[in-house]
Amino acid sequence: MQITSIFALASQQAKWLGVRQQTIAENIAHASVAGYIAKDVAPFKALVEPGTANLAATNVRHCEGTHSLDGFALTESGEDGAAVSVETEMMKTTDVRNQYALNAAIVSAFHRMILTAAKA
Amino acid sequence: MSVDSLISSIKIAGSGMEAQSRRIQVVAENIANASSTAKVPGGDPYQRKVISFVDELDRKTGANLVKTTQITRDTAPFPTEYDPASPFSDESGFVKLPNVNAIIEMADMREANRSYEANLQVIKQVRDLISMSVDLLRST
Repeated sequence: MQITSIFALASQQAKWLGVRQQTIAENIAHASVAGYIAKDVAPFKALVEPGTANLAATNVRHCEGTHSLDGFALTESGEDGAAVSVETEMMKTTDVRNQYALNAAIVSAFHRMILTAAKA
Repeated sequence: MSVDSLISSIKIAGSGMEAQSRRIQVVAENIANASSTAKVPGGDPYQRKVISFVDELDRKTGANLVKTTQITRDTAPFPTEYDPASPFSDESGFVKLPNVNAIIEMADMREANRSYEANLQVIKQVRDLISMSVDLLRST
């Protein structure tokens, strides 16, 4: 694996984490809206594995509906159409935070590697 | 760009906080008027206000914000009290009291409070995430 593809992957994951944080914010803000169903983003693993369905705007006339956000597929959590559970959302934010910290640490480590190579 | 969705998150949480503070305002009005009777004998007293929320798509950012709809009135019947000495009692001596239940208002206020806190927590978290990204530039 090329070192630059690490950056591409890391930036894709950072984008995914940002979109996930946005869905969490939406869920929490809509916790008191009647009839609102909690949303989540499709797992990141499904995006990087080849042969899986990923929504891509291949035509300028493709617009974002309720089932995608920034090109990431959205899922409605719970087939029974459960309302928002703030506790679950809080757990998800902790998860996003940890993954984002790991992501930032990896980017910074690889950046240091490039700097070492460049300075040597 | 990932920071864009983080900034939308702040906007969404902000709209949630705004909606919850409107809700607390309505609760305050209801509690303050919990014993406001009619201004004319036999008239209707203060009628409890009810707030409801809907989601609204912000076309500029694509974020799904929360908005409060028009405040409606609770149509529950008014409790009455026998008080012939009151200047606002009807012919049979009954005074209509507001249909405000202090316990329900308190429960509503607590729920609004917790919801406000949850939204605030989201803003704090997003701020941390953005600063993690900015720190990438700083540490090297």
